[in-house]
Amino acid sequence: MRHWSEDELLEMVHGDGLDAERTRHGSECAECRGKLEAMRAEVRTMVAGLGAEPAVDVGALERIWAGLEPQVRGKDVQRQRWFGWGWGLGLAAAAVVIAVAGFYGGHLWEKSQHQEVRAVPVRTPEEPQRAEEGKAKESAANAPRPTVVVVVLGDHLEQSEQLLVELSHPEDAAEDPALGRTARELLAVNREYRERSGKGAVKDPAVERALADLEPVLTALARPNGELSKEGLMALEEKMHTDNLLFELRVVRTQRPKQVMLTRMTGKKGDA
Amino acid sequence: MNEASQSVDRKAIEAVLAGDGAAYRVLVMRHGPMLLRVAERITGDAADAEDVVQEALLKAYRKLASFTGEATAGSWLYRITVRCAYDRVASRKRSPGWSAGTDDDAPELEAVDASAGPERLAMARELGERERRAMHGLTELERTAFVLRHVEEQSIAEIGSVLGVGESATKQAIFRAVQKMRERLAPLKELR
Repeated sequence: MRHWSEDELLEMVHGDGLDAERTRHGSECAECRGKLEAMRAEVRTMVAGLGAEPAVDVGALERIWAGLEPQVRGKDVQRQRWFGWGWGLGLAAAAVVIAVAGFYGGHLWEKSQHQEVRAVPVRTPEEPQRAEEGKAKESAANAPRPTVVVVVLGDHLEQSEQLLVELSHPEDAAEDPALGRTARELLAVNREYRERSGKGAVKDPAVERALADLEPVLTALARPNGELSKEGLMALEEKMHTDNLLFELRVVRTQRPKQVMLTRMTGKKGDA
Repeated sequence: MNEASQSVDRKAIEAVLAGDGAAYRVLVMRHGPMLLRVAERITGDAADAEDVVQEALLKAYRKLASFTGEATAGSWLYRITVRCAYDRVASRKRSPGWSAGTDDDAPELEAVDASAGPERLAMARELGERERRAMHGLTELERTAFVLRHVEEQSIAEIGSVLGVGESATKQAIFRAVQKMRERLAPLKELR
């Protein structure tokens, strides 16, 4: 008669049955039954060592809802299904731009270091006056084209937060085909905001710091040939401490006014 | 969960998908306590659990349109929350400065007279603390798998599915968790 081994005892404790022959041994051997009961008691002790059943704080649920509510109210989940939330930024901002600068036509506006990155494009439909009929095309191509950009800080921070939350689940993020595009859109807005901050348009060191910390992460994700595999994203998360950055953004967002609008008018040459 | 209860969930989900974001509160309030409980079990910290549940619910909201209804809303949310809690524990262990604590820095325990009230209570508290330390000495996979199997009473297959590992690896993780804890807690046996 062979007694149950420790491994077999553990398997029994975990709820996995042994094969019929080994199980039958238990009915014949009081010693093994005793050992099994002792081990079960040990596991119960371990479970008890975790502490009592956590008491649910009703206030916790209200706090959770308070944090969620601004992010779920007025958001169209169905649209997110088809277009992904990355599109939300572009569409919402585009709607604002159209309302603010109705007579402008839309086109993309920002370039990253190696690739054009476009966000909320608007320019006047009226091209510069042509001095001469024969030079019309050349003039139009070289003429400055005023651009209006509207950035809503609260939305930008919220969308960036969502991106960082997504990064905290690399296996899911790696499967998101819109991740790179979303990062590029956010990067363009981030650069715009930092540029304006540098010119004194926005004087808030905490916001500037958060946006500066955010930029390397967005840049890494926005690279045309960026490594967006699960392993690459995990490395990025670890290297850039995106958990800490997420916390920083949440603090900034909750302490700042929701609606901060930033406008810019620039004259850029050539088409955009 | 009974049919009426599932019907409440379904109506709330349909309302959210129809554009009524406030209807999501129904799901938060109905399933929040269960989600907080499992999140706290896994993270071992009430504040972390709150963050985890908020993150999980936001993630679920974004994926709501892909919820097929094959599982109940509660078990769907439960799985997302467990996954978030597991990721939280894993990232916490990767963070510099995080320390699990070991028995090495705990004071030596001496047996006391079982009839001595205050001493006995103090001993019980210390034993409980040692057990918690033993749990912290496990890897995140071992700890989470142990909690899900022996506290939450989930099946091996379900645990493996949620944690993204095979059934064999799940069994091994639980196996190692119990073995490690038995080793660490063995010196305390005589004191009970």
